Order: sequence, then C-alpha cells, then structure tokens
Amino acid sequence: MAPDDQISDQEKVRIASDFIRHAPPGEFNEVFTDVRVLLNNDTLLKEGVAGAFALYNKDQLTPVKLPNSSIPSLVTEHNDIGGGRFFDPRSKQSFKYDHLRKEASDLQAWESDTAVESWRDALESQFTEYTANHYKHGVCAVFGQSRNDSVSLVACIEDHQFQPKNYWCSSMNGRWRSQWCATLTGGTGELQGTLRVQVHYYEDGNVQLVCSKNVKHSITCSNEVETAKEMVRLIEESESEYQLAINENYQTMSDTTFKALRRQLPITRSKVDWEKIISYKIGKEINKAQ
Amino acid sequence: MTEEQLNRALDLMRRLPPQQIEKNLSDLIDLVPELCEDLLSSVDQPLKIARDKREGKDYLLCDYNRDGDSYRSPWSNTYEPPLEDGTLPTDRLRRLEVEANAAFDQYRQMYFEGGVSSVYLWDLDHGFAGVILIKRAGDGARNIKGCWDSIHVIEVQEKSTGRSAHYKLTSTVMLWLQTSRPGSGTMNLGGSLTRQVMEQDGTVSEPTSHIVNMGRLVEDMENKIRHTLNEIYFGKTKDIVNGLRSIQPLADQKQKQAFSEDLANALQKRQGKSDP
Repeated sequence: MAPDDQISDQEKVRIASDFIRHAPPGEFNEVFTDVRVLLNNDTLLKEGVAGAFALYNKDQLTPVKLPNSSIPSLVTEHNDIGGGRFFDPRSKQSFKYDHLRKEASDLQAWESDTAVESWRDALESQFTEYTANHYKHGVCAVFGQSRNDSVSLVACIEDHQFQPKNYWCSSMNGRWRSQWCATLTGGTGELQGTLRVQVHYYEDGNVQLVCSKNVKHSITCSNEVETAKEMVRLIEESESEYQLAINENYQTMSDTTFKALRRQLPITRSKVDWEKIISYKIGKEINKAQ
Repeated sequence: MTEEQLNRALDLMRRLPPQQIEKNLSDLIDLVPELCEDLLSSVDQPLKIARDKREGKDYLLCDYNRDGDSYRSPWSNTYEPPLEDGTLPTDRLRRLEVEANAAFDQYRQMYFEGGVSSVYLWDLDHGFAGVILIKRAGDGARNIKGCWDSIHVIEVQEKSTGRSAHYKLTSTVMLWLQTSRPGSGTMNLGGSLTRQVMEQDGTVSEPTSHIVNMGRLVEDMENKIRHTLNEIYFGKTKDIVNGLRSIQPLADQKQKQAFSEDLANALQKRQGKSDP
C-alpha cells in the first residue's frame, strides 16, 4: 500500500471519533476496543480521539455514582465545568470524572447559583418524584442558571437496560433520554424538550431503533412550586403522548407496512408449487421451439 | 494482526447504527485499506438497482455479478458499462441461470407482489454456487417508508452419481422502516438478520431439479426469517422501550401488585382452612 493512498492522521481521528460517538448504549467499551485495534496508534488515540469519549458520555446523559451520596447524578454538557470536572447540584458538590472508567473522584464542595436555586430546587423536587414514578431505574438531574432577567433551567432523565451477550435472553441494549429546557422571564416561560430512544439488538444481526422528538410548550410562572408543578405536568403529558405514539407506529408498521413488503404466504394460502413453476417455463420453451 | 483487525471491523459493523451502513463501511475501508476486499465481501449492504436498457428490466447489484466497475445483467447476460472479456457463466450454467431467474421472478411476485429479483450462478469444482437477491421497497403508505432486502448465497455440491446434491444456504435479510410524524417525531427501525444457515439434500432427475430444491430451501428460509424479524422488530425492541418508561405511574402498579399479592395470600389462607 503506497503511503500516498493512506488517509491523513486528521482524517483517521475524524473517523475514529465518529465511530466512538455512535457506540450504542452500553457498548462503549466494545466499540472503544474495536477502534483502538483498527486505529493501531495509541498516541493518536490518546491525543486526537480522547475528546470524543467526553462528548459521548455527555451526549448519553451518563449516570454517575457519587461515593458519598445514595442518589446518582448525570454527566451532561450542562454541568461540565471544564478540566474534566462536573458538578452535582443535588448534593452541592463537584467531582472529577474519568471518561473511560466512568468513575467520579476528588469531590469538592460546590456553590449553586443563589439567584435561581429556589426555582431549581423546586423543580428538582417535583422532577425527582416524576422520574421515580415512570422510570424504574431512572436517574435525573436539574441544573439552573441565571441569564440577565431570565431563569434558565435544564432537567434531564436517563434510564437504560443493558443485557450482555452471555446473558440468558437476547442481546439487547436500550436507553431513554429526556432533556427539558425552561427559560422563565417575568410571568411567562418557554419549555422545550428533546426526547430520544435507542435500542440495539445484536444476536445474529444488527437491528436498531433510533427515535427522537422535539416538543415546545408555553408556560405561565407564578411561584417556584406552582411553576415546577405545571412544568412537570406538561412533561408527563408530552412524554406519555410520545410513548403512545411510538407504540401506535409499531402497530402500523407491523400490521400494514411489514405485511405489504412480504406476505406470510402467497394469496393461495399455501407454499409455492415449484414443480409447477418449472413445468410452466418448460412448457413455454417447448411451445417456442415448435 | 490483519485477522484480528478484520474481526474487530466486523464487530464494529454489528454495533454501529445500521442506518448508516454505507458511510460506516466507507470510513472503515479508509481507516484500514488492507481490509477492503475482505470487508466488501463479508459486509452485506442494501441492494442497489440498475436498469437493463436492452431488456427493459431492472436487476440487482452485488459483488457476485461485478467485474471491475461493471455489473452483469441476468436478463441480457451483458455487462454495463460494457466489458471486453468480463466473467460469464458457462453455457450450461447460463441456461440454468435463465431458468432460475424466471422461477424466482414468479416466487417474488407471489410473496412480495412487487419489487425486483436477480439470480447469479457460478461454477465450483463439484457443483456450482449462486446468489438469489430480492429487493422490495414499500409505497410509503401511512407515511411509513419500508424496504426489504434478501441476500441468499447457495452452494450446491453435486454427488458423483449425478442423481442427488447437497444444498447449503446462507441468508441475510435486511428490513428498513422509517417514519416522521408530529406525534412520534422521527422513528427509524432498521437493520438485518445475518448468516442464517440451512442445509439439505435433494434428488436431481434433471437440471431444473436444482431450481426446485433451491427454491424450496429459499422459501423455507425466508418464511422462518420473516417470522423472526416480526418477533424482534415489533416484539422485542418494543418491549424494551416500554420497559424503559412506564406510562402508568409505577406507584399505582406497586399498589396493584401489593393488592394482588394480598388477594393471593387471602385465597391461600381460605383454602388452607377448608382442607380436611
């Protein structure tokens, strides 16, 4: 292979990073190992691709256990304070996060933004109850930031099911991600949501479900608790509507679309008579020859 | 090193979203050019359609009817773009190939009621091999786009008596479904079931017996795969989604569960009392 035919290191980094960032939920380690062997250049991996690990974990809303707290937090773009550190507004701490080992360490006290803390705290309270009520192993986090005259809140939920290949039932991984952003200015506000679901089946094949939906609502704000309750009410409504719509699609896909692609049996309701198909063709040939 | 790299590459292709197979394969080949030939022959891609202008019929493209950058049409048995001396099947095999294409064309119509099929055969030492391809795209009804791709590779070992043969079928079926609607946003359910294998012996009284034997094997295989796809796509993946989030509040469910447990316990106690 002539050296000229090789792609540049920059291109290799782009490709390796793309692969890492598209790892299905629960399979980061396997994809990482694949990429490492294929790239065959640990220096390039460490220098060029390491950024992709962090982007992946933040995009996945990766749950993280804190050594001194029973309630886990999330690793997201909203609580990234740079230098490999993230903050957990619930326990008022910051931590160092190892993106490969998925571990938190070096906990330090962290001060929340007092201007928005009452709003953030009220939403966290309602949102945590909502999460426990709809997501069996869900983890949620609420972040708050003041922006000029506005209160900016971000509420995230993550839930997943991972089943390794040697488990007794099929190899399947799935993850649900909700991200809701609220901007409250004076007595009104806007609530925007991005809902994402991904499922990967990989026994004897590769089948994936990739879904996403954007939602928008206008809200009226009174006090912290009432506003939080209204937001959670809208969130619950939107997410349940989304889930129902997905289920309806499944129904249509299986009843209508799939059937129209290939029938279970021909219209005769019995399997093909291959002898007949062959003899018909031979008949035609004999007729032609005459 | 190259064998390990090939295994890793194939593992990667089983994990990356199949919705981007072509891009993933292209990137993978750029990253590890030495694996190009192996990857192109072992990674199944959605089938592409070409038009045989001479015969006015569509045909499907794959590695088995490719020579350089040209593809052979099963209808006219010529290459497009034209090739000076492109690989062609022997006369005997070509006659069988014509019959096979006609037969599977009918099979396709009976099960798929549309779509395109193509059969390509090539010689082996003690028999022959072939690939049967079918592509069926949906009409977009109910705002859902769907597509089915079948890739069946069959190996026929003719016994020395000439009166029987052994057939080994390795099949891959790809199924793609996508929709974009206000209620559910974008929903993309796609991928493939790969390397399903079925083998059987068959009697051979004349050359066309092969088509009967291959046809029955392909039909059984596709029916089995269709059933499995139905279970995986519309059963298992849906179950996972509904396992991730519960529409009914979980507190209610815990209450219901506690209630039915109480009920079961109460019934047991009553039965215990009424036993002699």
